Amino acid sequence: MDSFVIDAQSGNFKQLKNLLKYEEALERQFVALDNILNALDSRNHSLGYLLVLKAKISDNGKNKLTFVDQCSHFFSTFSTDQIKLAPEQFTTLSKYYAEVLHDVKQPIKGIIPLKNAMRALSDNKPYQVLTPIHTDLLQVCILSKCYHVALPIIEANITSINPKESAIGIKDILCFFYYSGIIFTALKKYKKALEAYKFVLTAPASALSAIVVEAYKKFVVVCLIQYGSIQHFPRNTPTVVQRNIKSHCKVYMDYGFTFPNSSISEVQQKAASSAELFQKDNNWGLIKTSIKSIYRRNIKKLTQTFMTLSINDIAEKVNLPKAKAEQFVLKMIEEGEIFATINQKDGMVSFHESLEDFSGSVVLEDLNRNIRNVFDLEKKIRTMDESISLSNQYLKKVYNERKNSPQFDE
Amino acid sequence: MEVEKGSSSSSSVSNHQSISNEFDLEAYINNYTGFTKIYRLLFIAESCKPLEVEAFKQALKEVQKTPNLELYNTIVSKSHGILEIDPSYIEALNKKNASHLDKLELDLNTAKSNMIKDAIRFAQNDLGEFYYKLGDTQNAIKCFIRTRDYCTTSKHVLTMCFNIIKLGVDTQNYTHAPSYIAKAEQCPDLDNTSIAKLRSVNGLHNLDSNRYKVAAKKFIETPFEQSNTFSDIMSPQDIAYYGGLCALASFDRNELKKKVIDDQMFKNYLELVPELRELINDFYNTKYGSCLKTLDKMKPILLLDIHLHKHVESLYQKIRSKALIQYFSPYVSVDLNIMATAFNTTVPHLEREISKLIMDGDIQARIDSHNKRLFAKKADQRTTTFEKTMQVGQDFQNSTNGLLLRLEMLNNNISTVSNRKESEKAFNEFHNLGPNSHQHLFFTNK
Repeated sequence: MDSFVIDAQSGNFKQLKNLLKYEEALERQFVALDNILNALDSRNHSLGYLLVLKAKISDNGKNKLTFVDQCSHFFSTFSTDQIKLAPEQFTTLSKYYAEVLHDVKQPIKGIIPLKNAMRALSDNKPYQVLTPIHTDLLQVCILSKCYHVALPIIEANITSINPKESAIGIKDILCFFYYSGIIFTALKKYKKALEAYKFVLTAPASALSAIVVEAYKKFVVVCLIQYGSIQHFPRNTPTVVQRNIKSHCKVYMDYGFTFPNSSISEVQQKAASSAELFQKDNNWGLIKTSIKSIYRRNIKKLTQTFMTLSINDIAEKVNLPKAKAEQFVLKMIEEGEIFATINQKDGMVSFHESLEDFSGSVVLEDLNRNIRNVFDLEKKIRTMDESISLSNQYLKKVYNERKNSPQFDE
Repeated sequence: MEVEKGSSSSSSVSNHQSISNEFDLEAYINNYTGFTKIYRLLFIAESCKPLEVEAFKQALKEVQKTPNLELYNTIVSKSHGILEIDPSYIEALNKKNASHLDKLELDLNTAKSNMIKDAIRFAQNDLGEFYYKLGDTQNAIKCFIRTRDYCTTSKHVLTMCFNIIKLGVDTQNYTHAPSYIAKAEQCPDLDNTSIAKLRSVNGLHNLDSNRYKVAAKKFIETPFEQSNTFSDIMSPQDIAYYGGLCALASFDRNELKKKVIDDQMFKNYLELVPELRELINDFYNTKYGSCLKTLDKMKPILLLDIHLHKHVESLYQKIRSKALIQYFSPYVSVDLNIMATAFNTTVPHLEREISKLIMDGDIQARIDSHNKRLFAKKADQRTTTFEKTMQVGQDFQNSTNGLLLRLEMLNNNISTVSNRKESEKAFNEFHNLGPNSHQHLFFTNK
């Protein structure tokens, strides 16, 4: 083991590469691991430090709290150059770290270390390149309910990955978008949540994955909350998903189909009849929200139909007790969902048209930002197009086609 | 029957009395011949108490002109006591039918052994006809379809088609009808009668499947035939009723003027039912009050029609909605009280009707429930354009981003693959981790 420590302490890259050979040997020496760690410095000897910590994963008898502290220390201080030699080990460790954090119920501790790790692994471009650490960070954020930390990441429209440097796999990508969906849902940004779930559904696949199934379940319920009916699959969903997924979430489909055309009591009944399953899937809260959304949608429809309406009439039309109806209307006004004023003197609600008139600097700025985004996208596509039309494969194909088709003989 | 009970239960007694006053069963039923006459009588007897006795008696008289025992039995048993069964009649008829059937089958066999095409067709046709008269539709349709192989002239084809279509209409089972209508329409040199017959049956078929607009077009295109040549299917009055009501329910105002009121051919039909002509004119001239009154008056009679009764409610609903929409179309604001009087209804009821139309997007307006007024909604083009633009831009960005990432994944060979062991492992891992890691999620505790 001494030779490992010596190799690890030398700054020489050749010797560092040698370190990877010790992986198995380390896993046989659980007792010595903590001592080795003490001999190493997490910044200068990052690779050695990483390998020791990774070896500790398989030690079932370790003190988890110490392990968390060791990892936290490591993730906050490591040097990027060294760990790039062992991206796989690095991501395995981060994944395990996230799990242990959940075990010891201190997920919030992991946010800053993981954020640091994410930045390092994505070459300081955490908003452009997706790494497995992104996924771990989201998980920790969800567990500690620190959604605001995750928000800039999931709103960033990440479009690149770098499997060679980050060892990212399909599971990481799917989970990243699944977790994004969960965070958007929790923040009530339902449209964005749907986009995230949609990506999970459309990811390239030749088989059905459990993550996709779970995402589809949430997709269905969030669709009901947002639109009141199940949306179709996105156009580019793999056939294997379209064909097989429904049989895995029959109860959800059933619930979704009764939703648009039934009365509230019928929907409630339907939800209650499969409550156990919804609870098991941890979607019960969402289901309840979806039932509430029926009232909201009905009230919203009323605002489009009436200019003034008494609270009594509203209550009668949406099937709620009077006090509750007033509460609903109030809440919806507060949240900017409807534009209305309540006159308690004669119990009348007057509905107004949307106040948004699309003028002013905010709108202009928003427009500008969107246009810039589209320009950027266009640039990306253009570069991609160029690189494809210059690639060997493409040129070969075009050449062969020309040779085979007679009209190009001239 | 259900429909009628539901709609006029409050005034059912007076309604029925007025029916027997207004509705001349004798005159009505004499428009028809053949089985449709019996079916119609039976239907009237079942759905209208005051006319029951008369209708059952007539039906029995008619059915005794045919060899159909089954129908005889049904009529007698449905009349619960009004009519009595006659065993000797049944026995005699049974014998007669059996011998007639034997004879026809013998004819068919001789024809077959002689290999004369036309003779075979003839014999098959006769047999089919007889089965039809017996009420055995299954065998009848088999026989008629078999004649198909022996048809030599277009006239034969036409006969076959009409036989099959008639069967379908009588049993109200339109599965075969469309293809045979199409087949018959392809025959060269169709005479007016045949065209009329085909169009009207086609209309009937579309009416049955709730395609009112197509039905209306077909009925209106029906050439006028004074002589009542297809009384075994329907009468010219029926065509006027069916076509007129379907047109009212589905045509817009221009179409109504051009295709119904000014149509030379359909005018002839409308002349047969002046009430209906007035109704359509009232509707066109926006006299909705009298129009709706006439409609209400017509309703009990229409409910006695074997083909139309199922559709009366939905047609009436559509006509009413259209009237409401048209009434409001020239206004910016309307007093609901005045509108309610124009439509013979109360304000709360009208409000409910209009709010439904607004929610379905048929009227662009909003109701001021406090002051009982209806205001037209002015669409703000700029706002809608802005909203749409933003949405399209967002959608484009989302889809392109997704596309780029998917491409990147494919370039790197990352995709969900089916590797049994591996996927199972992944599944378990996910599920072990799944529930645990979600346990503290935001919405579970809510």
